[in-house]
Amino acid sequence: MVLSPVSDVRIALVSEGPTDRIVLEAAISAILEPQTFVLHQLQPEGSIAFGETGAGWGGVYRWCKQSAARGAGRVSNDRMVFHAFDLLIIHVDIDVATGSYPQARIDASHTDGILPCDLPCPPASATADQLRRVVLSWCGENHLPGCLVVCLPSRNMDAWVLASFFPDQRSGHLECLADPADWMRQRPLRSRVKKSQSAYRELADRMAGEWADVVVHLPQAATFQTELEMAVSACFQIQPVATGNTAATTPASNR
Amino acid sequence: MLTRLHVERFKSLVKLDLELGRVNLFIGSNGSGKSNLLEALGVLGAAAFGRVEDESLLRRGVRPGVPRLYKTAFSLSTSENTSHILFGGEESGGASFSVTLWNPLNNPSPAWRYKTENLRVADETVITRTTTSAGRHNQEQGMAALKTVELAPSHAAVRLMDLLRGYSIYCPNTPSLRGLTQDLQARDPVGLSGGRLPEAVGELLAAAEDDGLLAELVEEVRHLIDWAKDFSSAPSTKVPLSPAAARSRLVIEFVDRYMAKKRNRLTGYDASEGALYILFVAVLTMHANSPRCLAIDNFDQALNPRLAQRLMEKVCTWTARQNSGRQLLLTAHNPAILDGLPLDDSGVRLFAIERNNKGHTVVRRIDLAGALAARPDAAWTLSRMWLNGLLGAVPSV
Repeated sequence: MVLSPVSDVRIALVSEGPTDRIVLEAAISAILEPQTFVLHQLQPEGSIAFGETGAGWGGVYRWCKQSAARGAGRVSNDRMVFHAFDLLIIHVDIDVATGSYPQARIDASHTDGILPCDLPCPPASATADQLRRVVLSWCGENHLPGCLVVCLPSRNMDAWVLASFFPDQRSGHLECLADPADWMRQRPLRSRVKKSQSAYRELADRMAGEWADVVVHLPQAATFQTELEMAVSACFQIQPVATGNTAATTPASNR
Repeated sequence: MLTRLHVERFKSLVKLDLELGRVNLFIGSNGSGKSNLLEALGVLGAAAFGRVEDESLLRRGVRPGVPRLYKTAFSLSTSENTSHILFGGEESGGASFSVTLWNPLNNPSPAWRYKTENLRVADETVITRTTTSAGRHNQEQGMAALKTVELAPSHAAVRLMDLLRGYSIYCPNTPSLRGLTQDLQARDPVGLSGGRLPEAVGELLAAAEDDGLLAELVEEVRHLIDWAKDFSSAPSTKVPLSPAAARSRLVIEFVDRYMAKKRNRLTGYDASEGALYILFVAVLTMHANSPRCLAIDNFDQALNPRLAQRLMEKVCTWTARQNSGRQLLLTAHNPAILDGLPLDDSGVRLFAIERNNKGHTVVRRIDLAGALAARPDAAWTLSRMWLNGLLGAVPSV
């Protein structure tokens, strides 16, 4: 029997929007290379007919609540997620810290962390640390469980895109920029980057190629890389691809 | 029964090793590679037939393609990026057949060339073609196919090669099922698009008259078509049919449960297409002349979710009760189908087909018992899990 050397890491992603997914996939590709992975975007259960959508941070909040309910109060106990996936990434932009639950039409419970929780930026990490506690409260968690990664990239994830394509801007406080997409849109035509799914898909490989430099300049990107690597190391075991998926496993550290 | 399928460098399948059951359901996003997987087995079937060219591929329901499309087009490592594509299959009797095929990307020839072949039964090599001996033989003719002529029909190698040769991918369409258009891939008992369905239904009903078990199963088919009292095969001249309709010699006749007597007969031309799809699946599952191993692409099309669920359940029980060794590979998009899978039947397998970050198709068997154990309460059905992305196999839209 011929076996593939490794199987794919199975990653579930709960994120604010479709372009965020593309940027995150590019970053994960760069971090895990040559390890391959399957990335699935999860959305809260709901009916658009009844006005329930999975978009924005409100969608992330609803998903976390639904998952925690399945897991007797904790996302990390949601066996349906961790039966199907090796790890879970929850992403929200740090600008969520400036919002409030009523603005997102959320009837917050007493266990939800307080919003707004915005602190002066820079450093972005100050607000990120506050928001991390809030997101963990949505998940019913006091501490970050091993197979969960909370990705808080910057005020806006487009900062990672900006850092990828405009190296001369990397030394600035990009993680505190409120609207990096607007900045990129106003560049001269030759260097302009338009925020759209198709444009970001076209640029994904280049983003992955620039990741090593992005991490050097953006502390939140470095935090994400560290947490992802730790989660993969702890939660993913290489398996032969024979589809029974019951074969003996090899520690991920031997990869 | 085919127990294992191995494919390398075919379309989006860079490397695939599948352990198959009796009924195999493949779910995944559009474009994830489900049809490629079914076609890979079709190419292996053509190779077992002895010639891999457009005609032998079409006959098996495989879309013919130039080498640029057949050979995987991903950037692969040097060791993976060889010029040939590889297919292999193993049967429960211990026989295995593997073949590597090649065709130049530029100026390809009509027939693919055999680079290596290996037909074995356990440790015994029945015939082998190696790269060193390739130059001495006709490279467009399969040696294993010729070798089987010398073997007894009961030989395990012959059984495997017959199974592979007979494999076809069925993809029914309504005009063919209604008999309005010719099925370009006519087969016995039904064509790949559903042609010849009236004849096949007639044969099935006739066989059921002498076979108690088959009669029971056909009765279950009747129950699935709840608006009809009965169905049969009848000469087209004896049933009410518009003169404008194309007429075949036979048509399927339904007796409507609600219409007034003497006005309650209608043909497959006028009947619900769902009923025709059910009969099509029933014929392929139960008819003695159906291939021992076959695929139905979009198994659930035109069916109401509850009907699709019930048909899935019935196909699993029909194949188990008949115990004829028939093996099915099915693709579906309707989540309700999943709720028809009998959890306690080890011959039934569910696979998720997905693309990884490199675009490669990856196949994962879904652990049904594990999914059952993981759910927090009984309100979580398999279909609900799938819709919520908790089985994977959904697009990121």
